[in-house]
Amino acid sequence: MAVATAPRAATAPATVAPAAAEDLERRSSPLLLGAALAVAADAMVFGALLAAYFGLRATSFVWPPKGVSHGTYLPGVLSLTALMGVASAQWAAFAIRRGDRRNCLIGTGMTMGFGLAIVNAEWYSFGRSGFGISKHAYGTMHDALVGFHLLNVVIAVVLLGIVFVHALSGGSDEDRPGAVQAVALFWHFTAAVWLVIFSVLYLAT
Amino acid sequence: MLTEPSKVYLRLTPVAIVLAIAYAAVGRDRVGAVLLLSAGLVAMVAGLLVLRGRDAAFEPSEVEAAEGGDEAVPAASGSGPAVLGGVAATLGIAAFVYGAPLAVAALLVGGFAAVWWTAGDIADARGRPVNLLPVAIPVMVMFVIVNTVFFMSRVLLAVPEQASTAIALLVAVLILMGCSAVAARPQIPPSRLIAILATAGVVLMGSGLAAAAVGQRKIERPASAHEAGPTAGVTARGLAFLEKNIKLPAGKPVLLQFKNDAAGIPHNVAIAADDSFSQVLFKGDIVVGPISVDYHFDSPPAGKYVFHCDVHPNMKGTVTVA
Amino acid sequence: MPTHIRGQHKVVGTFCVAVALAFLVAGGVLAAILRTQLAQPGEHLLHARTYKELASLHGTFSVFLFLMPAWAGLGFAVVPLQVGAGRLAFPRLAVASATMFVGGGVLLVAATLTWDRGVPQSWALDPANFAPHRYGHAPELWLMGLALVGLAVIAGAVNLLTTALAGRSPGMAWDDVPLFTRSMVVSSAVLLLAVPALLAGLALLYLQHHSGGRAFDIARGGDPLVWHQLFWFFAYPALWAMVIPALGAVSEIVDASGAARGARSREMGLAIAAVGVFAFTGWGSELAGDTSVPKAVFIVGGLLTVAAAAGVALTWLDVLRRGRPTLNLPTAHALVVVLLLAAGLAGTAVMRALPLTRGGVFTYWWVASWHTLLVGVATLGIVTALCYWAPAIWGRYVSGGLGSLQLLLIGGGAVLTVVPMFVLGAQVMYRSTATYSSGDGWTVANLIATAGSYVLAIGVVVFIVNLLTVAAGRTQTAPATDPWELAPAEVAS
Repeated sequence: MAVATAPRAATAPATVAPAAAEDLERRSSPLLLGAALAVAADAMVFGALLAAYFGLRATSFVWPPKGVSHGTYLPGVLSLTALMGVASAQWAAFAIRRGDRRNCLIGTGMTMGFGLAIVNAEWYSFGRSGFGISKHAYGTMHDALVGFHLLNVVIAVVLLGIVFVHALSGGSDEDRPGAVQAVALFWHFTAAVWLVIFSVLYLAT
Repeated sequence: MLTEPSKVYLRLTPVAIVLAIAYAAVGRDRVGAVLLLSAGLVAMVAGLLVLRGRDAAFEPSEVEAAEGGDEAVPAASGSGPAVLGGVAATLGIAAFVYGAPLAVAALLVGGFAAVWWTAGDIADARGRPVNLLPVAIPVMVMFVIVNTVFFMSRVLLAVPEQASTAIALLVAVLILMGCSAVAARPQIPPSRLIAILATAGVVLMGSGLAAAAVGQRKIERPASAHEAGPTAGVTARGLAFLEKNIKLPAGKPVLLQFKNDAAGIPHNVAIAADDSFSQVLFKGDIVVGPISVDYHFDSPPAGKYVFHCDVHPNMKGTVTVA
Repeated sequence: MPTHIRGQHKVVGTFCVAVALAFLVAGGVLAAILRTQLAQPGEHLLHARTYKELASLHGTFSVFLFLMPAWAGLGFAVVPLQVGAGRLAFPRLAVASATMFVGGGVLLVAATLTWDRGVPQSWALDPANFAPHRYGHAPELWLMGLALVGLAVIAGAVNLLTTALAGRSPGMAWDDVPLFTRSMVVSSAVLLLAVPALLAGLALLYLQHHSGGRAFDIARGGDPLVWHQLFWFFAYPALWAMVIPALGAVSEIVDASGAARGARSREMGLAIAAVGVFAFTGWGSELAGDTSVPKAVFIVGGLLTVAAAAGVALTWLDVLRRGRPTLNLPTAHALVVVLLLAAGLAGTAVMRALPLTRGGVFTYWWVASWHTLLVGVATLGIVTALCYWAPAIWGRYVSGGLGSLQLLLIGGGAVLTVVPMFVLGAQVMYRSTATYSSGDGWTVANLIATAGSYVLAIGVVVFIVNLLTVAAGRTQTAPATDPWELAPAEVAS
């Protein structure tokens, strides 16, 4: 490495000349990178809620409190739906990378359908749980965790809708693969979150 | 080669996980352990994802900024949908406080922002603009009208009567003066106009939200059991209730005002059919004094009941419902 | 519709900084009122309860509505220039962030104005302030205001991280990336993991107030300590994340103006990254006194963060001792920051090491340590950065005369404020003391601290006037490259 007597970029506060587009040989989409970081933040929210859950569980004598019983049927169906969504979302991502708009649309549309089904099922389960947010701490944490997942699925469905419309509109777009992959990543995250919730709330108790 | 962010995250992972184990094993702190474990795992995933995306790149900026123009305005073209998106996020979050009307507003604004944003992306891809004006103009006009009416009405209802007349007249005069000024000077750049309107919008929304939080002035409020004043009151002082008997009307929604004067001591009021408290008719929130809290519930049928404090059950009395 | 307009990021950044400075004034006015109350013994300007409420408003406005938007704005304006991208990765997301900062501010101000009694008595909040359905909508407005600012910060962090990762000119290795950008990367990485814990806690508080949630209700299986854990898991790293960009800016200035250019930039970068990592380990020290929290672990964590920051300071001193630095306005500011960092770190280290029975975390020593770091390093760091990068952002220098005056007043005011606070801490004056008697012996120190806070406030006003003269175009224009003439005279062939 040459002796550092030339002015280093690190020392000059002025701008560095931007590079020409042809020099860029890199391939990944910044949109995917940004989405990965946003997913990390979302995962931390979930982690913090889990921390609260486990903390309260550790200091309670009876957890869940008397009178709380869950079936595992509906949550199990939700898990399967989420996993099916993982497959369809990834199908859409693979399709658009190959330039196959039609399959991308199908995959995105299917994932939206699965997402709406999950929203419907979770909303239904709130009413049937037999306890509410205000009955005891377990109820609050249960509803907070499931509600957080519900919010994420709603956001995923909206994002899928935007990607769907975008793909419908036609024309060439050099970053559409990035957008579809980013939304697919977000869907995979919501599915992973559900599996953890399923294990913690329904399987472990 | 590790990039800096991935280094930060991947170095955090072992530190966090080791600490998580220490918290769980050495201390009894489950919350801290799970927080650190989550942070460690998320950091690891983030570090790996960042690493995987290290060959990401985007094109540098291409278009020169227009000469002159208003430097102080952030709404460079292309920013409109983003500002709307931010406004939609604000409205959506405020909807958690104020409920359905704001949620609807948030959805409408957010929907419009999404349409505008997507149209911009499609236009970029196609190389020619997408004309949204046929849809945009009526939507925006409706939106402005609805919001102005809503927020102004909150403000006018929250202030005393004379003040509301004065405020309404003042706003009307300001609008008239503003429009005259714009009409008289046709060279005002659109960005400045947008800035003025945006500021006015923020002021309107902010004062409207504040006014909505304050609530309507008394004369407008419909009468109900809650606004007619408390049905009865109970005061706790030290480790005793001052009242030994509470009188309530039968079969109505009642407001029981509970005043806990005992500093630092938790008390509540719970009502049951008899001393065994096997059939609890009402259980109020436990509050730590000094504090005054309103209990709302439906009174039972006529008869004699008992009340006590759940925390200190020897604090008790009778309830006469007639 | 063109979306990649060159210079757009500077406009967004300037807007965020302007919003931040408005709230700096608000937070500063509150601080001046608090200090006025404490200037004399037996002062009854404010009721004790009102004092604590104003103190919590001061803390909230200063951290959430000044420090966070200010660094976000500086990042938006400067990072794209330093990596050579010329734009942010997501320009419109930055505008959305700026709008959300304003929205969060509106909600917080609305909450302040309408919260009848029961405004939180600590910026760290307490679940008791959010008893179900109490006090109308104001508590929820408060929570939502904080949540919006949190979302704006996360969006800004994602934007800056992606810009730094994906926007670097080809061939620019990480060691070549300027120190300020690297520190913004570290700060963004920390905030990305810390702010979500706050959002989770705010959601649980919201559920409590809105729907009667029981997460913090002991009677129904909840625990208020969970809130404090979540809050301080956010706040401790977040406050260090407010200091880290100042470390980066000053590192870059010291590195550029020192006699041996670039000699220590690698170590500076490593030390700054270490501060970011260890910032996650010390939050328990803010929960001192709670028996459920293991003490040894968090004391060590707190000291580790201080040690990492001390590593930064030591590299600065090493550069400075190698030869006299080029003295100009930014360098002078940077040197004052170095001194205040040393004082702040020493104070924080002592506080962590002190046993609780002597006070330490419960006394004014805590106030002094954090204010040295947040005012002396973070705020003065923002001032320094704006002076240093004014030529790059706005094409003009800041006024030299006003700049020297602002440094004298802000630096001197900060010292005059925090040194007496350390003395008061040693004299075991507790943190939330609203009034005291002449027999306590705290009068002189309080009087000096109050005078210092007034000097500090005037200095901030001078700084804002300075920036306004730049905006009005009344200062000297700067050349596009090397405005501070720090590059070496010759380039070796």
